[in-house]
Amino acid sequence: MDIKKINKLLEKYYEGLTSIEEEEQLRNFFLSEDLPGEMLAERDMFSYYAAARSKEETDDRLSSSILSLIKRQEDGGRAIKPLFRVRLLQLSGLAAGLAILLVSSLVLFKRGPVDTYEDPRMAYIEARKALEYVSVQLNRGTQPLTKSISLMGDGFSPLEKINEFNDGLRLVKQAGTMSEGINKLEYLNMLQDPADIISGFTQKK
Amino acid sequence: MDLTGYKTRVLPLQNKLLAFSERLLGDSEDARDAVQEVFLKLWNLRQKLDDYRSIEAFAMTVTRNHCLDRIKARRTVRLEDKHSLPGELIDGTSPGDILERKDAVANVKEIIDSLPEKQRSIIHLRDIEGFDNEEIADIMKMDVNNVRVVLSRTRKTVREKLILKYDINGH
Amino acid sequence: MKTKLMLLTMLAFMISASAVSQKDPIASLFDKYSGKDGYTTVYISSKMFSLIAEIDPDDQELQDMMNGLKSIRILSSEEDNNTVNFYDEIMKDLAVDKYEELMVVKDGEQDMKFLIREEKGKVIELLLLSGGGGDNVLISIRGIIDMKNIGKIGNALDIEGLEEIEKINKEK
Repeated sequence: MDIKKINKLLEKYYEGLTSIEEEEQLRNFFLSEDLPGEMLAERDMFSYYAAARSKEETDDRLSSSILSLIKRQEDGGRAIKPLFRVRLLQLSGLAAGLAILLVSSLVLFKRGPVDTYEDPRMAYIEARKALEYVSVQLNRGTQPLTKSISLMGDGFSPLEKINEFNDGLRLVKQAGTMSEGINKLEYLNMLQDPADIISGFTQKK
Repeated sequence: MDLTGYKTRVLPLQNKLLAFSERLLGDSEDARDAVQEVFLKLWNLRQKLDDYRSIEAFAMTVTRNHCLDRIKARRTVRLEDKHSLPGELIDGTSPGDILERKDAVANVKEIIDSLPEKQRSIIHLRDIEGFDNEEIADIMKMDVNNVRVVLSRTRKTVREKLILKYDINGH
Repeated sequence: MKTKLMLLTMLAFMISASAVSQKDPIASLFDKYSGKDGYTTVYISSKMFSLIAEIDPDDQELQDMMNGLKSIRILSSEEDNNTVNFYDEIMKDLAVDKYEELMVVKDGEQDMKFLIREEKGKVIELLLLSGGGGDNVLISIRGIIDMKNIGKIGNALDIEGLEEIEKINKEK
């Protein structure tokens, strides 16, 4: 194909006016060997587009995990649904009336919080992320603490930030005599892992 | 649609859905999780699938919505979305980072991945996967003409950024 | 029959009314911000946790993590919503007297506070409030909380990756 025609097509392409077929022509042109040097950008673009296009093959592992997901849902679903229907039918008039009243009064007075996610897996992802975040922050907060304790120098000021963290810590600050202080410090040095400190704290109470 | 139909007509879309959700989420593990959930949704919608003009386009719609939900959920704890690092691409190339010819194609990917979601999705759907503008309008819940406008703008942006990259790297 | 029904109706109303009036401060705090522009809230109930545990009964890590959890609430504010100081705003509304301070971390602009509530010597709620810097978030975790377990989760995580992200955020 001659360059003039390609340039025309490119112009249309950048305006978003080419058809799918014309884009196919461009793709083929830029994938061929003999290219003018100034069309570097287009060559890279179209090579990437062609390479990135999804193939129609399937991945057995993905397929089977999808199918087992479906199967699990179907098995679970069958067990729950009929039961629910039977229950509803069995409710006597009074009980049904009461149920409606209860529901409507709950609606009137509004509302316990509603679950954000219907899908447990989404909820799990979110819960996990929150726990991880808390955990990381917790570790980050306790890190300078353990460091400063082992340095012994001005390491006490961060300790002061932690109110009632541990009765032992307060004793350290108040300790008039060296020997008492050192005793307590030895105890602190044993606590390497920040998580230990916290669990020690929770168990103590 | 029964299981056989689902296996022959829906399951084979997995690479397309996977590529799209990876484009949106920026993480292949995450994309895999997302796609499994999308397939479960599609299974639950199997009775309706035949009503849609193109199952493929509909599957892409479901995928996009699902991924956007995920991104939203992700933001609540703000483990940062890899895509939202604007500017980082163009001026963040480290010194001595000389491009090899074979990396050139990777440049295009990087540029596309740095685009705003709408542009990124549209260029992915059109130039990579070959959906037509009507289908894209369906997937993106946009006006067809608008799709064309965004497409044109995005194509130009990609080209400009590519050329800028070549200049920085001394090509 | 009619009077019985009437009585039952009143009972139902009373039960639900009292349930509402006894609402705890965190719940009403989340209610206050839920649906507000610029805020995102997430609630995961104990029912949901039991469903989560069913996802994979053989996954020990998952079972450990979810064990004993009653609810997780997350309230976060988008980063470009800088007109109010999230940390101060929440601290103002929070009934702090119910909680004990576990730890306060100040890191540059970022204020972070860990609060816990105990009952019979067990931690039954952990609150993390963070604001001022990049993260504006309040997380409430309820249930029987094993702090040791929570500390471990992060170790399994790629913390280096997180630090990278923080760096990028700061450079912006």
